Amino acid sequence: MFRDIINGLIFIIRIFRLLSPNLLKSKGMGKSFPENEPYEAGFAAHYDQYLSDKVTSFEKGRLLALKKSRRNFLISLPIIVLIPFGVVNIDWYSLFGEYSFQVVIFMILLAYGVIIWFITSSMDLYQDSIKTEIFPNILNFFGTFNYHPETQKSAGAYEYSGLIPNFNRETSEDHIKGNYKGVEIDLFETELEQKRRTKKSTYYVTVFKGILITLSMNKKFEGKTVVRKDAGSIGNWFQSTFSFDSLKKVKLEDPKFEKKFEVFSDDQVTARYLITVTFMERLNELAEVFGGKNIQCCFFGNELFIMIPLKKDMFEPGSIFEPENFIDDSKSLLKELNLIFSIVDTLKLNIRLNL
Amino acid sequence: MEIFFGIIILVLGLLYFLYARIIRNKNNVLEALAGIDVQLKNRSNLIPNILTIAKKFMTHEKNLLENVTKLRTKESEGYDQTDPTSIKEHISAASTLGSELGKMMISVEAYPDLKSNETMVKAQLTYNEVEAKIAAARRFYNSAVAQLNNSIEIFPGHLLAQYANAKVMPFYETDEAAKKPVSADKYL
Repeated sequence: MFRDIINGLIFIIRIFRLLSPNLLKSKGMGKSFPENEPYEAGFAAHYDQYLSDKVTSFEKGRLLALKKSRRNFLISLPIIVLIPFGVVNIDWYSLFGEYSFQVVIFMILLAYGVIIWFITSSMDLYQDSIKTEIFPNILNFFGTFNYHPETQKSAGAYEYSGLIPNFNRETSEDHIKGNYKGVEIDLFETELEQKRRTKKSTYYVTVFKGILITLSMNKKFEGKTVVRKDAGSIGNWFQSTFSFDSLKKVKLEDPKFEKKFEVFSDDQVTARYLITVTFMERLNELAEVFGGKNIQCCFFGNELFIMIPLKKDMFEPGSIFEPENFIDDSKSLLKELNLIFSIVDTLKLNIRLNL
Repeated sequence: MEIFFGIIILVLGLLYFLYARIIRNKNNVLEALAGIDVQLKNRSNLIPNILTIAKKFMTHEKNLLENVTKLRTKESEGYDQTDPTSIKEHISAASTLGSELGKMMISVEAYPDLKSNETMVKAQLTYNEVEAKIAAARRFYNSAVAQLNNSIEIFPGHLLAQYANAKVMPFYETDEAAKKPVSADKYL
């Protein structure tokens, strides 16, 4: 609820920024990419080769999108103001009887929805063009990486892990696939929602928001081993006793790891072959990198599937209100990809050491 | 009277629960022991191939190679899975063999021709894989033994253990020689 209010306020501020007198001024163009972080090393040359020549045309597109949005906002302004008057002055009860309240709410939402679409559609189109045309060029820096703003993949494909919560609605986007240090990475961002009902209404609750990643493993193995977040002694007992699959609890040596995670497997030896003492330390470390203990994973079919809950939307373009030079887009994408690569580096999935 | 019967039933239920836990733990140890044996068998099957290649190159390590052969034979001998002494001897033999194999693999570094031999490279990779699985099986075994020993040694477990035919089992400890630091001077 609090998050929705904050998002709503940000959205209103965003719309009112369309009235700024400096909106259509271009500044800060023709910059070169500053390499401030170690993972940005070499990107300046990549930027000059693949991105800098697109800056002028995209800046034109940005200004055009803002101009169109501002015009549409000004056109809509009288309607935005008139709607509350209409709500107050029309005798809805005589028109719709006992359903008048529902009808008014529906019509207000519909009217404002259409207006918001009318104002923001050109800005959204521009932002989408950054994702489809610029993001793949940024990701080319890492070699064989592919990026698609939309994905055909579904969280349902990972239900075998037993980690995906029950959901009724799924919003998935930002599919990235590639190879880092010999490890195949396949990930996408998703939000899973569950339908809840009260006597009066139906609403959706987010049960997972974050990224789903599959990584090729440096070890060959059979069976299934699942690492769940610790659910407390009662929760863990329920999970191990009433589990639908034949997985048994694996008691491991590291107390710090056992405090954060619970491991279940259909093969006690394979589980320990995969989750070595050093791997436990690395997973603890990875949980710290992602700021919590809610990382969960599953070893199955020679792959490691990881679920990472995140509050923030990843792989999003920078603000449309800032002059376009792709530097902020590149910096944020490089930072986010570096975070993903840290999974491979932290877990040392690229090294066959058996440690 | 009813309270008395109630207490009797409660005590009997508790004793049955503890008895069943000992049996379950005992079976877990047997399962873990079988897991170790599967991996030791894999390692044992690998040894003749390694020795065949090693003998061609490692002419100065005759004693070491002979020792590995002897220990392999000793490790492959049958043992009583219910007798802790027999298990301890079996584990000790496996551990000593592991230690000698480790020494042999380090010695390979001193023979560049052997080290770069394709069959040896593959054998070393497989050996590393098998050793990792033995380590995993050992961890499972030790975890199962810890549970069994706790259930037997804590009162009234030791009384029930006799009826369950369960005994305190030895842990699988790595060979003392393997714990000593290895000097790299010989290979540099």
